Amino acid sequence: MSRPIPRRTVLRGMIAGVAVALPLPRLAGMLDGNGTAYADSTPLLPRYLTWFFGNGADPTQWVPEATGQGAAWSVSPSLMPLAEYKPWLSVLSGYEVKIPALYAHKSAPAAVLTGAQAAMNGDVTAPSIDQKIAALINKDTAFPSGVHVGISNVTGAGALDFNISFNAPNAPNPPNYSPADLFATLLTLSGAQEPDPSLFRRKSILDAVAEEAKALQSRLGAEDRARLDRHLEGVAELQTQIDATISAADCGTPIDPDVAYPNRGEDGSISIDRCRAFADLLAFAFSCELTRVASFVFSCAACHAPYTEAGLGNVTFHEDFGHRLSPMGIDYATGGFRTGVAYAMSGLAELLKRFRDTPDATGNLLDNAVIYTTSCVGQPWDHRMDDFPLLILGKAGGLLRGDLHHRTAGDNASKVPFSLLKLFGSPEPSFGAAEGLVSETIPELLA
Amino acid sequence: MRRGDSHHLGALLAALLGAPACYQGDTANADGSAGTTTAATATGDSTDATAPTTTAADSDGDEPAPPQAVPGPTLRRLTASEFTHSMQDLLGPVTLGDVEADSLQDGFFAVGAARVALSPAGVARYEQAIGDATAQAFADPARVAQILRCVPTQLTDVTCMRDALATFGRRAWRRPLTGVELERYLGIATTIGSETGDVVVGLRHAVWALLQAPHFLYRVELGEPSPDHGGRLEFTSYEMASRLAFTLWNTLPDEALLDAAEADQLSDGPGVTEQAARMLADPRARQGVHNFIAELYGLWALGEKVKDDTLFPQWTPTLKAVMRDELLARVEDVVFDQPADFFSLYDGQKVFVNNELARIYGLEEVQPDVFRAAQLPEGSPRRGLIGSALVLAMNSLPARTSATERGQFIAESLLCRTVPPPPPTVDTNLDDEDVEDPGPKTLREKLEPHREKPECSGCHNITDPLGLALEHFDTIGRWRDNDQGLTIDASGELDGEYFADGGELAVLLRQHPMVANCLARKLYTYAGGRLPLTRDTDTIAEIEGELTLAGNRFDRLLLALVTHDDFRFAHPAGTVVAEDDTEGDKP
Repeated sequence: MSRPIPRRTVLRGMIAGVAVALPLPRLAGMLDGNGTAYADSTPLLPRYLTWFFGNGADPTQWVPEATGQGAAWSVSPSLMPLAEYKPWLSVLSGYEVKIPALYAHKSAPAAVLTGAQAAMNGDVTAPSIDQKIAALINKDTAFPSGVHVGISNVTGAGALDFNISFNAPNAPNPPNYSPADLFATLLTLSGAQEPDPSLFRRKSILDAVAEEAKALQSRLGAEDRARLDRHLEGVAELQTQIDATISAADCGTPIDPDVAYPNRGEDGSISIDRCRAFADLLAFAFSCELTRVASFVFSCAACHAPYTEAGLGNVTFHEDFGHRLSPMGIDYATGGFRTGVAYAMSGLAELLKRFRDTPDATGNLLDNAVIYTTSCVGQPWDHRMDDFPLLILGKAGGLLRGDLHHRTAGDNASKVPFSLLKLFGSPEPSFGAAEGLVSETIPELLA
Repeated sequence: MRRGDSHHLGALLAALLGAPACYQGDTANADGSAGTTTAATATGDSTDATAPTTTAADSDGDEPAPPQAVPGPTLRRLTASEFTHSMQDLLGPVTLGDVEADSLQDGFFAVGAARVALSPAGVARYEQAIGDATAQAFADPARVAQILRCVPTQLTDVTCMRDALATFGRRAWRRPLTGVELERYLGIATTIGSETGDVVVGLRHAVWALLQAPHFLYRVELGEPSPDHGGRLEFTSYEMASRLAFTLWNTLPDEALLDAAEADQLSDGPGVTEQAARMLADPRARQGVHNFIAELYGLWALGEKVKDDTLFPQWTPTLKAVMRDELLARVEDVVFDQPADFFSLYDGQKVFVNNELARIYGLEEVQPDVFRAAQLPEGSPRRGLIGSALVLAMNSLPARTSATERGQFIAESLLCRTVPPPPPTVDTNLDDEDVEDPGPKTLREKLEPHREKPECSGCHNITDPLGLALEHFDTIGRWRDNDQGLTIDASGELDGEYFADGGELAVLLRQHPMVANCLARKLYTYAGGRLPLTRDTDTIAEIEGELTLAGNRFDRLLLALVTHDDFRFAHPAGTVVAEDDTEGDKP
């Protein structure tokens, strides 16, 4: 069943002949008596975020011992940083990436993000799950293609470049590594600042840009037309944001990362403070429904960055620990790898904390979110693609049970993103291609 | 992302065949389909196996190649480097905010620029970066007078405004604006000028708009059908100006080149040759060669290269910077200053150092400490590119050397051999092998299983024997007599030729029959924004021939490339061209 795109807006008007509308944070007072829909009976929509970390996990430390729900299971050593959020956590273990690993850190992330094999040139061959969900629930926001952020900007062996969000082949949404930059953008949309008269000038310039691009389209082949269409989407998105700025309702003020986390490290470096800064900003953007879709790259596929803050030195995490090549020996490397995975999870925990502490409708943002967490490989030193790291956090507005460890014996990992796609109301009967193709969801996830 | 991804075709074939094999030649087509790749299978005990030396071009044999659909000319988004240089040419020195990063495909940003779409967030980044840059530049009236040919004092001075926008627009878009276009930007300037009461503010906004237009941000070089040339597309004189400038200078054309285009002097060979010769003599040609070399050798990755700082405290940001400067200085010396045989880079012993790098090379320090040319001692085993600190350090791990990465650099960057990545579900940890004998081992001993195991040997026999030649150089490029006290054996063979150490390997590389063809292929890929098709083999052979005739002068290779017919003509997209059909294509 396809869900209608909700048009929940609390502020409408005409400014300079342009219809403008911007949502306010959704709070209990705006909802119907049951807290399940807005007063005008538009249904509430959960928010979606892909949270990605490179270099996989060690299943012996990652997979919880017991399966089941609630008290039946306990979090594993690698997942200890998430213990506080166990009520919202669904661990899916035993799933396997069925797509042939033409390239270890590339085929697997392409499979769990898009359901399809990677292209030979390091690209994907299908859109990623966040973009499929964005098409369902995000078109009426200020960021129709979502907000995409990243912690580490260090590359990793050519695997999908830096990206985890793809609108189509050759159409990535590269992460923004600068909390200060995202803060500045969100601040203008928050209504906390006076709209600047120069906004109308920017709009007239963008109108000219769009005219030029449209005029050029007729001379282009299909692929170039698609690329220029994407450029035009970007122009339209910017126009929407300018309109939203002009009419911005008071959504409060996002937390300024330069004030809250002055020692967070350079853009592109890994630190928990950088995770906190983006967590604040994403919670703000989701709360105000400036976007309902986002992605968060802690580290890219096969990431070569060092995990210095975790006490793992200034060496590449991928080689010294992921492949256990540390000159300190294999025991040190194995221990360091486990430390690094738990460190990544502590970065995720910061996001969960902000979401849990942000009121939303009758509960909090974590109640109303879906956070899909995965990686580029299973156990990395053998480049395994079975027992893949797959987590879902949040309860999707009550649709997900949470507090679950569900284990299968080698089921297709594509079922996880497909289950999420169906959760957001997609009418599509299947997801993925070839060995990654599935048409079944995971019923155990549902409440 | 490290270096290129040209090896993935090999990975696909390896997976399909299920056999250990290595493949060579950049023969993947632009659409990702297989070219006429030749499989050279090396299995089992292959210590005697010779690395394959034939290229796709040599190995076509009598097999009729299937017809290939030719990709037509495509838009190419300016790479970050092209964007920066163009903005500075137009506005003078400005600080530029980040724009959306380049995508590396097939080893080159130039290829990614021809394929990958800008994201919506990337459009916002351009708006911001260009807005900030124009605000900086227009804040100073003296600068404005340099940027615009005419600076009006009032809004009624329409002739001057028109002149300013027409000349700026021609330079920025690499072609004259049409009447409609000019009126559009004049309209922006007039409206905003009257709103703000400042005509220059109005013009600044018109410039901001011109620089956000696709005609600035993309290379719009699409060609026009030419009935005189078998239905091929011929690039217009203005498009040729753009192609020449971005290829030779890594920036947009200057006024002289645009004037030549306006006089339609770039629609024939002699006109192009005259301009190209002028451009190669211009200092901006160095900028163009820098960028090719930076892309070819993947210098962008140096920034994120880490070394274990407990073992290598010498690895500092200043050392990294001088390593990069040195590599570019070596290239400039050979290409422009001497100029000499490009392949003297491959075995030469002239280096460029400051004191920090001199310590890595074991050379004398001098006072005052300046960046200077120096000669390695005669008989030094450190020779050529493969002995440069940059190549040695870039292709090493944080704590130790990597014969595989160093060998891969030689095989892929200098010989155009494709080295596929390791197959899945193999343990790549050399140290696991050590359990039975925990004593120290040389890298050659550690890598032995990779050269013996059938699933590893096909590729490791291409890379490792070459990389092991450099084992006397540690992970930051310093000479070492031994490895943990163990004797280093740096000897090996390249295509049947014995070498005793890295110095002798460097000499063999210079003389290798593939290096000229490989350089021509790389340049062709970079300039064209796509991997060569099999049918481009003849073109590459022709420009390689020019290189050889010119004593391997790189500037002559550039000249041969940009004056070749293939630089002036293209096939319409989707044209199916039989292998032996060079003219009269059938759309």
